[in-house]
Amino acid sequence: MSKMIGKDFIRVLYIDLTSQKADIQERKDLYKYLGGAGVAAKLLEENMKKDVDPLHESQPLIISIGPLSTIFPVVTKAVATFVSPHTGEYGESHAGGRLAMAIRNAGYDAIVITGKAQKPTYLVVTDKNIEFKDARAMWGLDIEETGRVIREREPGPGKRSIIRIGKAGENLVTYSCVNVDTYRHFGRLGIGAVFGSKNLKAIMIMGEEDLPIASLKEYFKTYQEIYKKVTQTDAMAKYHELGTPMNIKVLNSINSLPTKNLLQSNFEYADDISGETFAEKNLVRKVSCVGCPIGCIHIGQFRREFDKGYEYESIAVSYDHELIYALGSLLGIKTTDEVLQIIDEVELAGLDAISTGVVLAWATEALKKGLISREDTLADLEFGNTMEYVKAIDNIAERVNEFYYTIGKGLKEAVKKYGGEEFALLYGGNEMAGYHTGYAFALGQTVGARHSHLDNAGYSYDQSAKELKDEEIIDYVINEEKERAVLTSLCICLFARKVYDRATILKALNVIGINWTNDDLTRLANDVFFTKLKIKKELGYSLENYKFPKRIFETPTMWGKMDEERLNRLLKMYIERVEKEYEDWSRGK
Amino acid sequence: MKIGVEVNNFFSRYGSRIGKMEIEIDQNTNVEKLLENLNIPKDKVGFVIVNQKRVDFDYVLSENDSVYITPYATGG
Repeated sequence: MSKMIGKDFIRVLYIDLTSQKADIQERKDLYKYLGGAGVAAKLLEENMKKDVDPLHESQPLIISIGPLSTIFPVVTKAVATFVSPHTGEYGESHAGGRLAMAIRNAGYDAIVITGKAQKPTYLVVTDKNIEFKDARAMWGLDIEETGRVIREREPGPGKRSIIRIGKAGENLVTYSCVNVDTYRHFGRLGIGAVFGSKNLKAIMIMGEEDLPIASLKEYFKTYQEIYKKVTQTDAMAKYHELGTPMNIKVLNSINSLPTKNLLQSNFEYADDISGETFAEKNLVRKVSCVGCPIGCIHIGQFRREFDKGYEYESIAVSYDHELIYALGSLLGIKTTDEVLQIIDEVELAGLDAISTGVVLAWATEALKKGLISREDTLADLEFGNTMEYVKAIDNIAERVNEFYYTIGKGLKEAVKKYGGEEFALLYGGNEMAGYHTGYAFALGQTVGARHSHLDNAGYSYDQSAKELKDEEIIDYVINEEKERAVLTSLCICLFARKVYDRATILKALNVIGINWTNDDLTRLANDVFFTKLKIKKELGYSLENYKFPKRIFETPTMWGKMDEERLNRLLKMYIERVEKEYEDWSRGK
Repeated sequence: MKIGVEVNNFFSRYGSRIGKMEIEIDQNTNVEKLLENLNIPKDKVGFVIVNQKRVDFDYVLSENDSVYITPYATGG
C-alpha cells in the first residue's frame, strides 16, 4: 500500500481497547474533509453513541492530522474529537508538540480508539506495531512521573510523542486534560476523563516511515516561500518575543482583563504578572513544536522550598496568556512566581488551566457569600492566597469530598447544587477565556462549536471595531469560524493564520498533488462548520432559552458595561441565521 | 509641556522608542503627531490610552497626561 503524501485517501487506524485489536482502513470517502478537524468531526459523527454517557466505553476518541502536517512550517497541530463529558456535546481540542509528526511518521492520518481496557493500559503505536502495555504501576502517577517512566521504558527519543493523563483524568474530572510532550495539551472539554474512562493512561507514538513527496523541487520552493513569510515578516514575531502574555498589560489597559472572578476588569497588580515581568524575572527558554521555527512556548522557572534547611528545587513550566489570566488575575495572584507555582500544580494533576481557574474563582466567591462552607472547601479560598489554591487543585484532582466531586464536573453542575450561577463565568457551558472585551467575544465563545474563544476570535472584532454593529458581529463570528475550519482541518497552528491565506494554502496543497480550488476550500469550510452543528444537535445541544451569567453585565468591558438585552438579541440573530443556513446545507446534502 | 508616556515593548521591532519616559511636547500636539515623534507606525497601534481612557489619533494632549501606547491583544 502506498503511503505517499498527497494520496487520495485517509488512512485510519482503529484501536479497540476491549478486545485489544487494531485495524487499518484507507477511507477514500473521507478525503473531501482533508484532515484535522474535518476528518475528526466526521469520524466522531460516525462512531459516537447518541444516547449513551460521554464516558461510556463505547464512545470513541479520535485524533487526526492533515495532509500538510509536519511538511510545511507551523503545520503542527493534531486535532482530537470526542463526546465531551464537560458539556455533554461536541468535544474538540487541539495540541502541538511532537504528536502530529509522530502520527505522520507512523503512517496514519487518523486514529479512532474505542472500548475500555480491562486494566490500566498504555498504548504503543508505531509504524510496525500496536502494543497494549500494562500501566497498573503508573496509575496514580502525575503527568511528569508518567512521562518519565515511559521515556525510560520505550525507545525513540526525539521521534516519539508521549501523551498522558494525570490523576484528574483517572478520576474523571470533566475538565481534565491530556498532556502532550510536557509543554502542550489537549486542554479543554475533558478529553483527559475520556482517557481515564477507557483505563488509558498514555499513548506513546512514533514511526520511521519514509513518506516520499512527488515533486520535491516544487515542494521545496513553496516550503521556502512560506518559511520566509513566517520568519522574515512580522506576521508571527510577537508570538516569539513576549508571546501571548503580552496581552496582560494590553487587556488591563482597556478594561478587559478578567480579575477576581470578574468582579473587576483591570487588576491593580497587572504589571507584576505581565508578560514583560515574566520575561524579566522567570523566562529561561522558548521552545517550538516540531516543524515550527517560531518558538512561542515560553518556559518560566521558579524556585520552591520543598523542605526546611535551605532545601530548594527549581521548577520550569510553560506559561501563556490564558494561564496567567485563569490562574493569575482571576484569582488575584500578585507575583509571577506564585502564578507559576499554581500552573505547576495544575500541570501535574492534568487539569485544564482555564476551567480550573474559573471554577476556583467561583468557589472563592461562593465561600465568601456563604453558599459553601470551609468544610466543603477544606481550604481558605481567598483571592491572592496561592497556597490555599494549590491545596484546592489537588482536592479537585483527587475528588476528596462531595463538594470537590461536584466541582469536578465543572461550574455548570456546581451551580445546580450550590447556586451562584449569576457569578459563574460560563459561556455555552464552558468556563470563560481571558478576554472581557465585549459582545463579539461573549457571543463567540457561547456559540463556537467547542465553546472556545479560538473558534471565532470575537475578542479580535471587539478590539479592532470602530463601533459595534450587530449585523457585523454576526457576520464576523460566523465567517471567522468557517474560515478557521479550513485552517484546523489542515492542522495549521492558528498563530500562523496570517501566513496561510487561501492562496498560500492552495499552493501548498497543489505542490503535494492535492489539486483543490478556492471553491473546494469554501465547500470544506461549510461542511466542517455544519457537520459539527449536526453532531451537537444529535447530542441534544440547543441554545434556546440560554441565559448569560449576570456578572458579565456588571463589570465594564472596553466598550463599557454590556447590555443584557442586546447580547440576547445578538444570540437570537445568530441562531436564526445559522439555523437557516443549516437547513440549506442539509437540503444540499 | 511635559507628558508621561509608556510604549509597549512590541514596538521595538519598528525602531520605536519603548518603555516609560517623560517627554516634552508642543502645545496642541495630537496623538498622531506623538506617534510620529516616537517613530511608532500608526497602522500597528491597537490602542492609545490617555489617563486610563481610550482616545483617537486626533486627540489633543494636555500637560501631565499619562499616555500608554499598545498593540491589540492577540489570541492564545
